[in-house]
Amino acid sequence: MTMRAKKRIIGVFGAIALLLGIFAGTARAQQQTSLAVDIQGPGQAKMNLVMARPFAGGGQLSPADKLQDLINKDLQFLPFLQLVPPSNIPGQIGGPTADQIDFKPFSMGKIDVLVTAQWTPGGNLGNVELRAFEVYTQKVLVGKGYDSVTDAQLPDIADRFCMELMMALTGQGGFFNSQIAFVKPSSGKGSDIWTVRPTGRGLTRVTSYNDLGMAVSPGWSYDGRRICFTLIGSRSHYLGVWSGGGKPQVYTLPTTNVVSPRFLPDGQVAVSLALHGKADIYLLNSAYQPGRAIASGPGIDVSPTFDASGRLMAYVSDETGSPNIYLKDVAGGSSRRLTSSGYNTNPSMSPDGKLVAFTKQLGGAQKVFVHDLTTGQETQVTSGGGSDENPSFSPDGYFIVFSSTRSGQKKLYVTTRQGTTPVMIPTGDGAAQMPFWGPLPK
Amino acid sequence: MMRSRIVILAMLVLMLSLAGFGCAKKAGGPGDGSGTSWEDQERARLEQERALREKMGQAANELAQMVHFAFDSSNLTAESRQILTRKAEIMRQYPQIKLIIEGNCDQRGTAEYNLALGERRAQASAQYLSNLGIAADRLSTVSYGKERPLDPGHSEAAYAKNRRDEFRATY
Repeated sequence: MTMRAKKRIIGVFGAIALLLGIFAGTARAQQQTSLAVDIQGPGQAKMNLVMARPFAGGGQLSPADKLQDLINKDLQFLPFLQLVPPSNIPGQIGGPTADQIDFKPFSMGKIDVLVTAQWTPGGNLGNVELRAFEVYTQKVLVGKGYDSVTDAQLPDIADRFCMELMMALTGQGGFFNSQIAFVKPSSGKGSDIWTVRPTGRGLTRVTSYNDLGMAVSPGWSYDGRRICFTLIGSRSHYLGVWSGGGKPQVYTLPTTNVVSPRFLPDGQVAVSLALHGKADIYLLNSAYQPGRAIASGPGIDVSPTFDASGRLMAYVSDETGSPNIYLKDVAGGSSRRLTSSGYNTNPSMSPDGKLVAFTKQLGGAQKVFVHDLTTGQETQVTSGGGSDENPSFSPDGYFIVFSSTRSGQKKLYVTTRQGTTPVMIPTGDGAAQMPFWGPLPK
Repeated sequence: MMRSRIVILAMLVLMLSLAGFGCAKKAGGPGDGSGTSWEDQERARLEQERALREKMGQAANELAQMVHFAFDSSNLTAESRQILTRKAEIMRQYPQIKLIIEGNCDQRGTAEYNLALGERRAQASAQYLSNLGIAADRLSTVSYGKERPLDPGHSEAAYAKNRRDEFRATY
């Protein structure tokens, strides 16, 4: 295992790969370790992590501090890690490698993971080696090395290191390079679709309708290649489909009410259409025209969400008066009401089909809840000031992104299904809303 | 191995961006068969409407008078029915015009459900005008849900202001 880790440190990533922001090709750090967090579990387990002061003998203190800060910020997204300041542990760290570290005080101080960084002179800012040790076994969990790094590469280096650390500890690391589609206001009354990684990096504008239209309700396809959305124009709603580059295709449907389009795992689109005077949920055919109705109760049916098999659908219906969350088989059959009373909307089903996150109106504001389909139990996962809307599960079913007015303007936040303290996703100036978590890059 | 992977990925990126340019030329809406982009069509629609309203003058302003709704309701009040009756008269005076009815909700609910709900409010006005003898093909509805508040505040007064139908004369 130590050999493998060393090899990985020697294997230096090319600057081109970093510039392209491509995460593919990294060796996965899935070695057997005594340290493991079950992120599908109840969420009580926490590991203590110390980041040692970086070793920067060649005078690269400023980039070293910057990288340290970036890693620190990344790790704050991982609620199962408790960052402990190095000053709390009287341990001796003589250097960045295992033989230079006295692990005993860290072990005594109940530290599970120790991270070291070493900078040496080289091209650009210099070369850096990052290591995460499992304190108990003194073995390397993650080791990464980069030559001739530039300032612009530091965020990618931090993300990649943290991704591998998360992978080593939980078996899932996709969080750091997954993408979230969301809506930002444009000039005038318009709004457009953007994408961003949960760290706030890779902020990209997808549509440019500006004041001509409002692009809302983005939904990713399961292969990550397309985003469907509602385009609200001056006399109708349209279905927009963006296919990874250029302008999205705009489809006119035989109704002016086109709400909450969502891809199914097989690439079909489900959308709420008012074809017969009231909103029902339909599957669209390959030309994006209405096919079979999959929810057509006596009231409004909107906001379909599916599990990864595509067999199970949760959605909103107001057939009893106020909107509530219902569950049904896409193939047909009767529906089951999940929420009992009040105003419940915005469902998002976990990919394993076990949980449904949704919002409940409490005192004029929305809060995010999670409904356990096995036990029927409802758990509130967001609280505090402001209104929390549009929860969306991450593909690993652990994180939940939502929009919130907790600090004034609507912004995106990440919490977990256990309701850990939300962390804001930087999305630049202006409001951000209607997040939809995309699939993990293949 | 790393190198060849980078080359393949770079080619993929290039292919994807070329495919993107290919799309841009025919980015219009299938279904209308015009071949022009949605943006161009929308600009043309708005321009034609602007010209029409200019020609109509004061009547266009009168047609634009909003109607408001009670909380969680799409029922028309006596005042709203009066306003709509006047619209029907104007529409009889100008047989060439059509009317777009925009349904709007207050800020309390959530976006997607409100987009569907706003349609109900727009339909309520459309139904009333239709009952007054205005042909259905002269009436169309579009819901803005809670996306276009007149007052972004969180007071009862702001909510009441936002629960409304707006009206636009069109060709």
